[in-house]
Amino acid sequence: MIGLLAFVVPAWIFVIGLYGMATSRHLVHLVMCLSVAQSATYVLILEVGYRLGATAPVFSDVLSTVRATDPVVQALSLTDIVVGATVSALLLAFALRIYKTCGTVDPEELRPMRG
Amino acid sequence: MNARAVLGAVACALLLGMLVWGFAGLPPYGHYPGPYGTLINTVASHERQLPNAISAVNFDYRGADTLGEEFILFAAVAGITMVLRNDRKRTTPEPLPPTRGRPPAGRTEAVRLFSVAGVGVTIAFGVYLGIHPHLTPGGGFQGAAILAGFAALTFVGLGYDAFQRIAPQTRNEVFEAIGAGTYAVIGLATLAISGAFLTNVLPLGGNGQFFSAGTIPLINAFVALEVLAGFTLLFLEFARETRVEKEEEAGE
Repeated sequence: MIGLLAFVVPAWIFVIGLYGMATSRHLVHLVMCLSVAQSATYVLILEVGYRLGATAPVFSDVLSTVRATDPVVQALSLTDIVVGATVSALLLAFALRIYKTCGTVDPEELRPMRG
Repeated sequence: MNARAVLGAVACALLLGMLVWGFAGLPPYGHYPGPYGTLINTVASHERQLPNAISAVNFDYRGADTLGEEFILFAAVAGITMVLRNDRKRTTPEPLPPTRGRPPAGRTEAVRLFSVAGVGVTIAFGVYLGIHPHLTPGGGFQGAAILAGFAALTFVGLGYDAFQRIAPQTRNEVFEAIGAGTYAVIGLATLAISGAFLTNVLPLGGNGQFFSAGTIPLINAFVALEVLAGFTLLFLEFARETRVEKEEEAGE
């Protein structure tokens, strides 16, 4: 049961972010929704590497033989966060640029590829 | 029902199918098999003399991946600088709505006080987190991201001019290049010394000591430099956008 719930949470975060993106009427809002959808992957990755009753894989005051969660997925989530932050920043820069060229931040009003 | 709704319904059904299919294939919750991570947990403590197995993965066992990750950040910052450049000469269709009615650059004493007071705390916490990648759940990425908060605080508390004086563009660009480049140079040096890219060639020291774990804290320091300079550069680029509006208004 707890296992099912654990995987429902990232799925819900992802879908709600996707819904926000699909219905977005503002480019900055759209980028924020993308961040929400992407944060589902942090939750998912960390949950996949979790082991019941395990501690964090930092062995400062416990022996290295103690049951610990997977360090590889945690290192991956760090990469994930860095990539997420850069994607958001780059998209926000594009949003600014689009506003300056087209005078709008509503995706509905943007005509596709006017060149 | 119009075509758009039908298309949406089909896409939603497909997404649901894909999600269920994907989640069904995951290992059961709380029982991740992952032989690789388990092995690192067991051997990292004595092989690399550090308690933090995550940093061992990031900066040592999979150090080449982190090099790539660092260059993703580098490329993104370069891309943003390019996307936002040369806007000074361009005429915008109309000024950005939020800045239009706002009084120019007025800030209360309270905002100034808390921003400037926050700078010290931010730097102390960022440095503390950033220099202990091998000992605690910290590291260059996290520490420098917090440290870069000083840029935002300076901008909020003292304004664009002061911010630009404290952290000039060129200096940040040079630091960012040094941070990214030195990581690659360390990799090449270890390649020359030991014959494998990013092998830990430095003395490992004692587990739990500040000077331990060989190349890990060294690589981490340059990652921190790159992230700090990169983020500050980002803040500068975005802060300059508010500046353009002001200059145009002054010119009108």
